[in-house]
Amino acid sequence: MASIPADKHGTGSVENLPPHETYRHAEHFRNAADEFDAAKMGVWLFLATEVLLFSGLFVFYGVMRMLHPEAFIHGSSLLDWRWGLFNTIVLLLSSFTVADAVRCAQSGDQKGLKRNIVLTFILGTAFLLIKFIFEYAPKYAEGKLPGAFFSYPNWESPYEPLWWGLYWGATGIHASHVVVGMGLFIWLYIRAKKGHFGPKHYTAVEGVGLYWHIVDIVWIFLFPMLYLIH
Amino acid sequence: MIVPRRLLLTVLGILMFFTLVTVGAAQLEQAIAHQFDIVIPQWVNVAVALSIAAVKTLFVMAIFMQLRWDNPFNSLIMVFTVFTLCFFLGFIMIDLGNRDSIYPYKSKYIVEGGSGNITVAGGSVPAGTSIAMQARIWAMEKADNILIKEKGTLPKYLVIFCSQEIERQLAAKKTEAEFPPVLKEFMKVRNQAPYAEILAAASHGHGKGHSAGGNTANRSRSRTGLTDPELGGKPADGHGHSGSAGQAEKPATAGEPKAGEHK
Repeated sequence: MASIPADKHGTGSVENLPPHETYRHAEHFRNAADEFDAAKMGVWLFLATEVLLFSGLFVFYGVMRMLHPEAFIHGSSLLDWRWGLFNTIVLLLSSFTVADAVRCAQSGDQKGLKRNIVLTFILGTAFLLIKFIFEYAPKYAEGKLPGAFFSYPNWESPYEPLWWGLYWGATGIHASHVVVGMGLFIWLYIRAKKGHFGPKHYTAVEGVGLYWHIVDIVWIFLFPMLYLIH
Repeated sequence: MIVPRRLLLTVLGILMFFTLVTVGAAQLEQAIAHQFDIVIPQWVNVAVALSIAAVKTLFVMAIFMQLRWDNPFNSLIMVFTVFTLCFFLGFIMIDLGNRDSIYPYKSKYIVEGGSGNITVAGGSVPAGTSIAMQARIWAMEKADNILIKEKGTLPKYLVIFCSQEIERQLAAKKTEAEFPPVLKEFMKVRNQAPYAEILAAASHGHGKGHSAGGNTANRSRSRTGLTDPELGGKPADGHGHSGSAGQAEKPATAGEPKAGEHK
């Protein structure tokens, strides 16, 4: 009995092993590999629903762009592509640090794992700060707002409130995903510090990593759609 | 499978490279369109930008998300998701793209649409005002507050607004005596310190290389027209749209400025 740890992540009490070495899969799985595969497939199914969530916005973009091209062209010219580019680079870097975090967990590099989680968190914060300080705040001040909140007088097409609806809707939903992701990285860091992740068990790092990559992919499409297509 | 760090770094490099390519392509297209005054069709722009995004996505999914070494079932989930997205988008586009060919057959049932008047219910502006016109009424009030009541300095976007508003009023054959007080006041100060520079910079376009009117890439596009001339629209006939619907009741007005050229 003494060899069975008290909780899921073990205490490591018996042989003084870290928790990830003594991880025990849930009883209803044959083995840890099956459990990992099931969890990962669950994440992929969730990512599918995420893609479909954003596909509604992409369809809105396609339809409105076809109906009111002049509103979208002028609206797009009011965005500064340089901030969009900067934020794209920030997100790509964070995608790399997440992929590296998974690699560190798989190869048992505890220090590298924690470092990469912290780096990703910092890059996520940078993304949000750039977004709020250099993009959202000036636009809010000039009335470049969606629908009935629109009060920017220098429009060139009366359908520009629609464009700003798309801009705020799409980037807002994306930014809220970044916020959620950063919460997950705090959770990962706490668990990594307790030694929960190692070569034998890194399910959560992998799952959060996949989520973060899909957030990055959504931005890979939003950036050219909003800032570059003119 | 543990993806080697070297491969991760290579993919990061590839992603950065494609990001610069997509930005460069967008800049290049505009530069070419302006320089040689040629028309680059919209679909080129869209196809280039979205193809690069798709290639970047493939790299992220295959290497960063490890689909290349993963259970193929996970890839299958994504393939079906993308199919769903394509159906979703495709069928709506088929509908939108073919409306013109359907309209003539059922023209007697359809009334002309797209007045540009997305109206508001009322409040500080008269009910029935469009959101876009409401924005200008509000801006006029704001400029009035800042310039006359508070004796302050106008922010940049209101400076441009006032200057454009003067042109619009003159175009509508109004004399300076008929201008609202804030515009009269603005005409006195517009050649002075902060305003003169702002207006000089603004007259060189938006400073980012294109505006809706001046973009040559914009001219080739057919559009479902705005029909309210007051909002810079035109009757919904030109640019390849057959648009016979509703024209029996409301004949096309000749000589209206085309959308995007109304400055």
